[in-house]
Amino acid sequence: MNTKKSLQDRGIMLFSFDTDELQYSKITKKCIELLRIHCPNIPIIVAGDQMFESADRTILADDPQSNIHNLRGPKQWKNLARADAYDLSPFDCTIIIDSDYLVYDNKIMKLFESDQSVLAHRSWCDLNYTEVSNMKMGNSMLDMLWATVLMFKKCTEVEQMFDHWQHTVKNYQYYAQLFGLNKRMVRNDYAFTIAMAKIQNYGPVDHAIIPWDIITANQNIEVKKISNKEIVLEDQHGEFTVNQSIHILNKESLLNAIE
Amino acid sequence: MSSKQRFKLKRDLLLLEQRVKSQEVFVYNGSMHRADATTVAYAQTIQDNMIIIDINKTPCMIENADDFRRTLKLKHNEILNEYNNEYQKIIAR
Repeated sequence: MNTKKSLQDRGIMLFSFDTDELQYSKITKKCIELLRIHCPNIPIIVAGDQMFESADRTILADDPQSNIHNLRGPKQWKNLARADAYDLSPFDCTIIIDSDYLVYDNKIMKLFESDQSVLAHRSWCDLNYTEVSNMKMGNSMLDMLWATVLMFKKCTEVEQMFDHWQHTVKNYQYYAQLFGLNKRMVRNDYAFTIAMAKIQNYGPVDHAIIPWDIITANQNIEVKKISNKEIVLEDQHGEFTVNQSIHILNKESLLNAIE
Repeated sequence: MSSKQRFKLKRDLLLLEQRVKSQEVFVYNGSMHRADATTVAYAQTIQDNMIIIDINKTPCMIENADDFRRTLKLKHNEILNEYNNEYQKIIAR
């Protein structure tokens, strides 16, 4: 296998910046460990504030513009480097995933084979309410696109989309007013959705949708135990086990389970 | 069956459906298709070099219809077998 070629061809990119409240780096290390098992032979690059030995390469990046995560009280959140992914990624085809998206199968590998230049989730499966739905963005009629798992290829249109994304983050107060969003927390999902809407002249984005739902454990679900094969979760209905890729929103409990 | 057990059953079946939903997607010459009953039936009408619409509403040419049908049926059967096995495990709990 030509490693050099595959490094340039396609790969997975993660972002990891620790805050005073949360050591994202520990979650990132677990995410890399799971990726190595379930998606082997794919290069992994981390853009972050420290070196990751388990990654193929680390891009040491300055702390991104500070943000506030205000679910369950305000917390510092350094999540805004994602908009720079186009410039940072060395790959022709990149899948960015959030560190709290734990990979327990190889379905994201299908995204690399697609001819589409951007693919992201629109529908989500909420395990707490056992519902599958799309989420509207603020008071607009736009369906929110999730930036949690995002495949993109390097081409002019995608570069323009990332320019719109950066512009949206920089001018978030304006867009928050326009679409009725929370002005205190810059949400990447919204900035990405706005960028995609702008690049499509607010037309349909059906061509850019990953055709399965993003399985999500919301804030009400706690992580009880985590292994490389499955994750045990608990909510008001009791304990349950998941052995497929899942997005964990309760980061504190995820970190506790990893430690 | 208690309400908690009923909810657990509902959630386990939802997770199984989710697994099937993602597994039945396959990429054929760069376009994404779903190996479900509808596509299996539709594939019977496809001939070589016909254009079909993929999941992402993008047109794509199927150069070799037999090869497409073979891939589709294989995937469909594989998924249904797994669905059946997992379904039996869940309802037996």
